[in-house]
Amino acid sequence: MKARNKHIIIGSLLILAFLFLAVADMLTGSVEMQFRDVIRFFSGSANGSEYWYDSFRLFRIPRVVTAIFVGAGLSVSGLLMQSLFRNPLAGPYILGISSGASLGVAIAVLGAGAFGVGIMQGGLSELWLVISAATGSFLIMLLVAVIAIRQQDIMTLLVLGVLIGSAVSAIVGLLQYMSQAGELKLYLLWTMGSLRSVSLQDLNYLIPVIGIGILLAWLISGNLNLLLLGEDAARSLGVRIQLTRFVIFVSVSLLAGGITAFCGPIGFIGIAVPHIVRTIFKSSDHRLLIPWSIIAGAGIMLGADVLSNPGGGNTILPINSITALIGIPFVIWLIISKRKSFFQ
Amino acid sequence: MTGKHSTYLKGQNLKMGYQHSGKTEIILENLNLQANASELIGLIGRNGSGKSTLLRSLMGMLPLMQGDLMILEQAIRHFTPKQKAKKIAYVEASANLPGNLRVHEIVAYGRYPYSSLLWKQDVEAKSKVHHAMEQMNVLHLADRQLHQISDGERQRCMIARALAQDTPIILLDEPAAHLDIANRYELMKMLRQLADEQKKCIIMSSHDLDIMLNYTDKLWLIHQKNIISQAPEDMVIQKNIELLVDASNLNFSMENAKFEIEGNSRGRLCLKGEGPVFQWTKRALQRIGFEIECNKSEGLNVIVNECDEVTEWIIEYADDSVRKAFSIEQLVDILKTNHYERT
Repeated sequence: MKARNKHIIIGSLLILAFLFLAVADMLTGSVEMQFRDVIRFFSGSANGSEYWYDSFRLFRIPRVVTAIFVGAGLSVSGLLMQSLFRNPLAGPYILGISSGASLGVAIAVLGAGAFGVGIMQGGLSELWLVISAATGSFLIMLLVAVIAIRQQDIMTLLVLGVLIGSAVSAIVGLLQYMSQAGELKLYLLWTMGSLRSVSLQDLNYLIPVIGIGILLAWLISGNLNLLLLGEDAARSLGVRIQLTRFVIFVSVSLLAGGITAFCGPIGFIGIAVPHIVRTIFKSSDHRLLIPWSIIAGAGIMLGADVLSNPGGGNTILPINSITALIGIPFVIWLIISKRKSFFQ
Repeated sequence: MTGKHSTYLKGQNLKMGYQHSGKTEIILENLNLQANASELIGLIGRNGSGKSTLLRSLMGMLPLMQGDLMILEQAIRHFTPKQKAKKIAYVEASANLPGNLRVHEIVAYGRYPYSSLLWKQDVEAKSKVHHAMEQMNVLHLADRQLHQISDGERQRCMIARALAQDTPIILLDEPAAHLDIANRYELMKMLRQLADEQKKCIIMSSHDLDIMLNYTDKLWLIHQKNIISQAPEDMVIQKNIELLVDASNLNFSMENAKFEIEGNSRGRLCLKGEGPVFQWTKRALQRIGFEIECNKSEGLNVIVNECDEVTEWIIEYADDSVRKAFSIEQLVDILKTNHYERT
């Protein structure tokens, strides 16, 4: 089969690019180190006394691993949403996950100041940000899920997600207006996203959450294929639509919710990567799309992380701006070209 | 075939409809139906009469409001979704599909009811998919994407999916709707073969009365929240077919097997001749409002004269004047002009 050979070639190139970017990202940072140091670290021949050892183990490895899992998780959740809504512009945040997280963080950071509660004397800890983001996205997701159960029409959900997003922005705007400069900055920094706030210990939570989310997606990959035919056709072929939708919701909540809680809302990866993979593999088979979205998403996230630290100096650009600058031109191209081969 | 085993689908006292926000809308009730092996059943009815509702209810997408449906003598309500999908296949009217799906992928999705969780395709599945594509004549398109093929090929691909599903019953919602004439007849021929050779029971809806009368074994006509089930010919003879229209100026012509608008009569004339040219001349004359009748003719005669590759139509008037036409268009023109001159 010609198609299969093509897939093998493209796949190998993708994996090579991914490995290259992973190494490049490991070499990026304010502490200079060589490729052979990386080899020595992983082969176990480096010892803890070397000048780069601690910063590599405690900061770079978590950052690179986070980039890989965040890129993979966002891409898979974007793919799930696009297939569920059969809409090319759906993304991981369409169900109000990032809105919820923003609201949670805004209330914790800005609300505390605005209402003079002062629960965070001496500043908010990272943990508080994670907890408030997770709580916020969980509550909004719950709201959307409750409506989703009553609402048969999937397009209504899409509109609902957009409306909830606007409502949340309005509330956040009010909170911002009432808050102090310091809190405002803290909140804004959170919205810019960061892979650097995830510590080695945090990975103990982040990795299983994303792992389970991706596993769930993989288990329903067959059903996802049939969803593309439309709900009626899928149902007539014996797909349990409600169950499939539920699994999709759980998976996306874990993936996008978990990532947003730890790293803030990171945009456009989830929308763009599934399209890139669909285009280069010329396929809509999820058994192919899921694994390659993982590789491509991780690679692009690593690339974005390299770009966010130009020249390896102390300047760290917000990762959200980088992914937006990579992703938006792509999404614009997607809309303008209105490619027939995608969803019409 | 009236044996017990040939009944594929049977329902008694069924009620179908929708329920939204507390309101119930009953579309069909007191419905009794039966569909047998090797039957190609045509579902006809006016727009909004409930054709799609019936198909969707048979498919189980709309829960039955009353009664139970038996498939091969088993009540459908006891089936799991996958079990049901092994008994009934359904192709919806016009699906909005992502254009990058490939033909072989879509057909292979028909094997879903037989698949395990991770969807490995075994040799049997592959051969069924291959066979289904072969039967619907889309094998040569297997690697094409949907946006690269025509509407007719697309419809055949969707039906191939239903065949891969390997079910005794196939429901098709307006399968001929977007097809050109050639594709429409080609499709009907294929469906006829499936019913005859593989004993499949196919229920299809359509507005194309011509193909329905020519290819189906039985018509289900939806009328007043119920169905009338008859052979197409009985439907015509007993004039039930006229229930499709309530307009009084539309009549079903038994002779021509189509609905005809009653227009103003231009009177009678006598047509003489034979063969296809005679038939088509007759059609044209009826179209412009003449009754073809030789006994009580008012003296107007048209003679079709075919000789030496030249066909001429000779018009003889009551006053013995004669005119000639060399095409039906000319003939119609002369008759129309004279008709107005003389009346």
